[in-house]
Amino acid sequence: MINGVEVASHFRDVNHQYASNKEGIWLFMVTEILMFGGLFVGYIINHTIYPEVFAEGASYLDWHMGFVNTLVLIFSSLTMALGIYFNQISKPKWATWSLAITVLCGAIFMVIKYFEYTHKFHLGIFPGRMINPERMAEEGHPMQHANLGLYFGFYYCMTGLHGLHVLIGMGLITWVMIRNIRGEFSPKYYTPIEGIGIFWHIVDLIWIFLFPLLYLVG
Amino acid sequence: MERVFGVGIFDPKLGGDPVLFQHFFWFYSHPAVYIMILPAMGIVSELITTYSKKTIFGYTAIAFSSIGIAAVSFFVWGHHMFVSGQSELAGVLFSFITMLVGVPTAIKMFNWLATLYKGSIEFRAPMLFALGFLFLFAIGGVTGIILAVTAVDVHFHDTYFVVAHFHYVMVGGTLMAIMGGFYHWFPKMFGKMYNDVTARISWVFIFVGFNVTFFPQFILGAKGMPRRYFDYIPEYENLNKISTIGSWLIGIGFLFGLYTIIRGLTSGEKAPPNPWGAKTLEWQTESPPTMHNFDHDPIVTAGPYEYK
Repeated sequence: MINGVEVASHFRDVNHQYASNKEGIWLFMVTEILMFGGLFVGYIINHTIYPEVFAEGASYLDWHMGFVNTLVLIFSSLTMALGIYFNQISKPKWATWSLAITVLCGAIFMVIKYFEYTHKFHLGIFPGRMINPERMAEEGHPMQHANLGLYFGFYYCMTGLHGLHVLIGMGLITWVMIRNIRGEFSPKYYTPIEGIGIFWHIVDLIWIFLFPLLYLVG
Repeated sequence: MERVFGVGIFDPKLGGDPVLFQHFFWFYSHPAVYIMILPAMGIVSELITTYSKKTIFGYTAIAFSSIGIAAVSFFVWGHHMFVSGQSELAGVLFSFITMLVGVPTAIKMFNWLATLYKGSIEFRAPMLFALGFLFLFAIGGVTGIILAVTAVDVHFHDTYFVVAHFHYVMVGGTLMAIMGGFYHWFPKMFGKMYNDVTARISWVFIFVGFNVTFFPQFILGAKGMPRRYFDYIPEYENLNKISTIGSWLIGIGFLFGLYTIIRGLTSGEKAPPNPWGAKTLEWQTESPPTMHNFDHDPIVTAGPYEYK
């Protein structure tokens, strides 16, 4: 215990512990970027070979929905940062509300994503081999390129993995929000919110790359 | 994802590319084996200086060659794909870069040998494992250069030659170093001594058994026996039988090792702070170390490898 903060025995002081914890989260973020990096590299290679397939695929996406989701996530990054800021200036109630709005934004994002997915399923648009050209023709959108499923393979993998991260992020933010309501954080100690904040910003940043790559190409 | 949902990124029917999967896989998996060997090399440097009571030869060169191996490791993945249909230019480049790995690796080998030169060598179990490392890893490394030659690899690709090469570097290299390091730091970790005689018997069985198991596989591979098949033609029978007998010897060796460890843990004598007369800092405190490692700040008067 130093200044009312629990410090593990292998750290010099509170700052050492705080800096080490943050470094750990950043290292984790590097692995996250490596994981998404594989998908991005696959995207680049296939987009270079089949630009017309990616253009056709993007025409099935509604950029309005993607744009609204982009705004929602950017706003949620602001409220996430406020959740940390209000703890730093000893306003834990305001921090709780900021975190609650962040979770709400995550939920709005997922609901919009849900409507986008179900609409595509309705049109017979599934990833890869599972795409259903007959159904698409019936719905009035005949498939132009035989390997359109490739684009949607990327679409579902990239947005699906990202959506999973949003869900996990919402769970983690809810967890620190409950801890915040219990009064576990103070201007001296708010490391878990900071760490989850870094995670949330990276998830947001990945979406900022996914939006133009998937919705705006062609 | 590819199999369950048929995503199609690697499916040629949809314009995807299975070779892309190979690229992704080896871009990760080749550096991954270097992640296994580099710490092993660090362990070997410790063992060789401690049990020959000599200053490590060329410390800077050893350190920089580690960084060299790590850096080059990201640019050699294509040597797994000489027969995948990648371009000839790519094959030549990957072959050349792969051979470059031999340079820092050889620097380390010669530094370790120079460290041993005129040292007071004690043949304790950890040292035997370190010497086993030098011997087996040298064979593994040199056969790696053979495999890096594109023309030769067309013949050896996916044969038992590759299996033998891989085991010589990963088992003969990494596992030998891990076992040596485990015995070396056993007193420090558990505060108890193990029986060096049974540990040495374990090493004899493992070392001999390893060579009996895997050396015939070089010959099998050179004769054309492919890997990943459960059956083989009668011509390969004798060598395969020798290999099987060798694996039993390895098994016996590890049983001796297990016995040594369990006996050491249950009824080993209390370990003194520095049973090996080592110079590095971890040996200048109790075994096992106290909370926060030292009761008082240790006073450092000599470098970690200054034996004489």
